[in-house]
Amino acid sequence: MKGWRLEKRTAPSLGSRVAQPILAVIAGFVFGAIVLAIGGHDIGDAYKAMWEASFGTGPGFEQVLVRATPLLLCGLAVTVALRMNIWNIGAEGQMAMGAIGATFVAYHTTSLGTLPILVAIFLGGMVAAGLWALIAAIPRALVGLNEIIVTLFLNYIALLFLSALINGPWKDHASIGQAYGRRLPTQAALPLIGDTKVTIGIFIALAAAIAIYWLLDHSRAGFSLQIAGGNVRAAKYLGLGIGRRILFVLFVSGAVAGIAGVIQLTASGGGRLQEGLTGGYGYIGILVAFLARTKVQAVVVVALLYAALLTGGTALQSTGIPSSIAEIIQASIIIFVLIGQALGSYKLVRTAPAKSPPAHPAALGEAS
Amino acid sequence: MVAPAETQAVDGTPSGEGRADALTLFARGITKSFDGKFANEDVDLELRGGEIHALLGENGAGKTTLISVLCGQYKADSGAVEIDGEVLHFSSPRDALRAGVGVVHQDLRQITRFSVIENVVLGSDHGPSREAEKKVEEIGKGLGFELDPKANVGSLSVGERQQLEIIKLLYRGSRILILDEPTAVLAPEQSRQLFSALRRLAGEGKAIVFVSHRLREVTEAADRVTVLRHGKVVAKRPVEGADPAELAALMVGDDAEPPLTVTPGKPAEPVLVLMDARCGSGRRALTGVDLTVHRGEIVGVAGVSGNGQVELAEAAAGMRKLDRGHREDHAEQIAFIPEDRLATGLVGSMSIEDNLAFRRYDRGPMSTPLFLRRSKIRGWANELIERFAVPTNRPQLNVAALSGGGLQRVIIAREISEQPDLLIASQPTRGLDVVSAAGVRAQIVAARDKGAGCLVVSEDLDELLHLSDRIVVMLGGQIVAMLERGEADRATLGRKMTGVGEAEVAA
Repeated sequence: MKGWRLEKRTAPSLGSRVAQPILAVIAGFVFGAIVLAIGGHDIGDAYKAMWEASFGTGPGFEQVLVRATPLLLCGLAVTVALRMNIWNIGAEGQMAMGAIGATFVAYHTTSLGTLPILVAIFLGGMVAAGLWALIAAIPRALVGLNEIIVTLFLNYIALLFLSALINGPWKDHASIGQAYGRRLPTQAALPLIGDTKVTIGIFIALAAAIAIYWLLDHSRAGFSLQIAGGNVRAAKYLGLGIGRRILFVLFVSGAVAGIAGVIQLTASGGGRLQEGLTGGYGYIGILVAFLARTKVQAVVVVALLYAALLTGGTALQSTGIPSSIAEIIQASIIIFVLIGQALGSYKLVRTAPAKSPPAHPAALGEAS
Repeated sequence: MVAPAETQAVDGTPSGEGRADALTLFARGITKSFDGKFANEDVDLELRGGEIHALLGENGAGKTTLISVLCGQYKADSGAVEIDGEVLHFSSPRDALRAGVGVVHQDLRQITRFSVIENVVLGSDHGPSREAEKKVEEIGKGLGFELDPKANVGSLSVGERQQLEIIKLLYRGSRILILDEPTAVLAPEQSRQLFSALRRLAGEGKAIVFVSHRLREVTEAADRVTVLRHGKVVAKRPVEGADPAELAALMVGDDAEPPLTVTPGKPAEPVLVLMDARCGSGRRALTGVDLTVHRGEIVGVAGVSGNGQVELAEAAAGMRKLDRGHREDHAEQIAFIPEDRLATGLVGSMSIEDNLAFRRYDRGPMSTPLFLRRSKIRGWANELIERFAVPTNRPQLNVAALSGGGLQRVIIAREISEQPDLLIASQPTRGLDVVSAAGVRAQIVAARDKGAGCLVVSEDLDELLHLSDRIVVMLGGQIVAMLERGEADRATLGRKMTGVGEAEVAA
């Protein structure tokens, strides 16, 4: 590599910023093709199946939207907190608490009509999830306890709490085998869009994206969050309170993740609490936020693409390709995107040889 | 315009006490450009054993680039470095170190958790040993340094850490020592100590280069001087017989401004009162400060670094809570220029224009209750960038991309433009070149004349004497002396700062 070296880019051009993730995705698929070939599978068939199961067909795209909804919300939740340099690893648990809060409200508002009950359960879920996130926020704000650990472990507590509820007080005694909570009132189901399988949850998620985009990038509060997240001393210098901002972002973050929980509960969850309702979206949301580099617009795009990758991967398995290979393809695409992001901030420069008399490399060794 | 021809007579014999050796280091025609802009253009530097050579120039004149080339950190686009008549090509600072070229950087690159001796042997091929310790002690003693080899580097003062860096280079056998703005972080007394050590080293035949833009140091401590301007050498000459004013003119070229004349202030009602202010512990503490700053006056704060000035500034600004005592201000707008700009006053990950808006983003016209108004923020930023000559043409870039002087201007622009009633400035001109520094001082005086009370902490005594209506001296977290304009001079301040003569006064 002599004669070439990496130099840090001061400001990547628009072209390179667009080209780089596209190249990374292509590289990921090429790598996936190699893996498929090694496994003796037909590359064309495999990728055709992935395409048809995601963007290629109407039903496929519906599936993508269904999965994109919680991913987008969880990605947004993580992004909000990251703007203040807070890592919310707890979206999974906050989703669970959102679903629990919504269920609680639904059980107590059975006489309401569709719109009022939906508003009530969404609010209930957001408050429950937001308060749940505050459990991590308060010690972080007061004594600096690491929020990563606390939010992570709160996930286990929340998921076990959900399990305890559907095996205990909220148990549906009619169900046999797997434990379920009692059914929510029928008017608490999220309406579908037309005759698709997609609920209006995707619109709720997009509205949340717009609200978060406004909050982070266009409001006074967002500006001050950026200061406090960027430099705590600068925030103190300007008289901005750090503690209450930590509480604020984690409450909002939890509440947004809570919306995802409520949507899962009232849409694909079949209108009742059950194990596995959170589906790991809370964790993938961290990856979505990371890949989107905490830019809200990018979170929308990444959530959609990631959802396509997930549905495509599932479809791959139904063609007889082992799930492990599908996962390798997914993972390699993600890794190539990450590599692309890291390399994108550098450029390869040719080092011009210095115009000067010949060197005496040997002299360097001896001199001391 | 000063004609370079008059001063460019290159003399063969260095003045001063050093031995007149052949050229130890000869950098010939060094050219280095970044993004098509020349940082160094055909720069020559001639260095002899036994001399102290000053490299003088404004911010951005190319001093640091030249040093980086000499020590192998950058590769020159063209030109060559000869050491003892032999052309060498360094591909890393390690190569340079092996060839005897050592650099004391501005930001001391040490491991604070390690001891002195561990830092010295770090990167060499052996671990700490008794012999190494003895050698380190010997080198230190020879230079008049008192450094305990076993002391933890984190517990050392900046001056001591600089001494460590010099010892480290000598331990590795460096014959050519290059110091990048060594006095920027030192109190006058420490600077004197440093220069006397450098003089001893020169006496042993070592070649010393130091970078500075303080003329007084150059004339007091150097044998010869090379002046850089806009990446080119504009003069190289012996210091003896050089007129500081002439050197200043060479350094800044036609941009030189007439010296600022500071009229006495007209102190009015108090704007800041500190009574028995106490906070912190150990060396970073206030141990009972009484201070009143009035509108329309500049109060200077002198002291050897680490005697509570940073804490006083922060307490005065209301950024640091007092443990005991009382603070009250009658200011609607407080401006604070902190000592560590990037760490305290700016957010490196935000753009220059955002950083300029920190004091205003939360009210009209920069924002409505619902929306930030980016165009207004941008307009305000552009106005400040122009008025305060912030060196950027892309205000959307992260502020961290600016040089030290640029960061400084961003903070000063933002703070002073608020028309403060109380202005607290810590080391307001540290690291700025002559012209920029004069500009900043003029801004402080202008703020005072508009009725602000100003508290200026500085280690540059000339600056304090020049600006201040009163000077308070801090020692051990307390104010030990207060001098009116006219009663203060360098010698008195120096005595008060070090506590010399206090015993007699107390007795």
